[in-house]
Amino acid sequence: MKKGDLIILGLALVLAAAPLTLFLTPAAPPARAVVRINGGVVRALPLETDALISFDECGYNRVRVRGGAVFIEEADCPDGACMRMGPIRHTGETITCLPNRLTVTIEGAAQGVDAVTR
Amino acid sequence: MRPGMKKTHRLVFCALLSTFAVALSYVESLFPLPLPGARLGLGNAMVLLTLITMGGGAAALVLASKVALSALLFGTPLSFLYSAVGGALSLAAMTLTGRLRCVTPVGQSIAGAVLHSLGQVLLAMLLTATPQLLLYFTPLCLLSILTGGLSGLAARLCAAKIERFAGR
Repeated sequence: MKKGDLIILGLALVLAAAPLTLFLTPAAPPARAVVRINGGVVRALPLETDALISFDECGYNRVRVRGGAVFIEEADCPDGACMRMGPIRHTGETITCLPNRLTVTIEGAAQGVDAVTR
Repeated sequence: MRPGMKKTHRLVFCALLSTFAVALSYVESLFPLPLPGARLGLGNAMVLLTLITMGGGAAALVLASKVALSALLFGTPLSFLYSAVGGALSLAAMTLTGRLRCVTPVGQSIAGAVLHSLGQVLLAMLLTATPQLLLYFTPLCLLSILTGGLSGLAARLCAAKIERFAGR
């Protein structure tokens, strides 16, 4: 490793930390799980009410809200990554199902944030 | 070596490296990493190896064959888009950092891997219109520093062995 390598390593670490300062800031209540398909909002689920909803616009995803957290219970995407990503409960956290172009994002409410970078 | 021979030699060498790149892209899919979308970067190590031994033009050719063939053989139109964007950004980063005298292939590869991840996350943000996906860049970037460093080391060790056959 030469000096240039270490500089690149340092820049990469700074770049990795950058998104945290942008998003993990407290927001107004109440927390909702916002479901988007193909970029458009299709549903906003309040986290305090348990719910079970299926989406099949671009492929099948079954989203469950339970105990203030949301996760994808079942999906027909080839990799199943979305099922392995959940459950999520904090503002800014996101579950993504790229094959079905579906994302679930927690928006609103600051409760449960571990730390705030200023 | 006759003049025509050198061109053929380079063509054959490019073809060999492309084959390795496609094969390794498949092999690395057998080793799932804890983060969805993360790869070991063995295919990219071959692109870097081409860049070191034969220059930017040949590396672009190997990258194009790797992306196109992997998509045709094992991918989807969407995975083609992701690897094309990531690959192009990664090669640009590796080429630019390669011009600096104080950077070794390890640093080149880290720069390439990080830009590859950044490209994929930005594309995912664009396609899903979900800016929060940028948060996923943090773990992905940290992992790609590690995998990028390792594949850069691999490329450097290979380059030392094959440089004299490259016909540059």
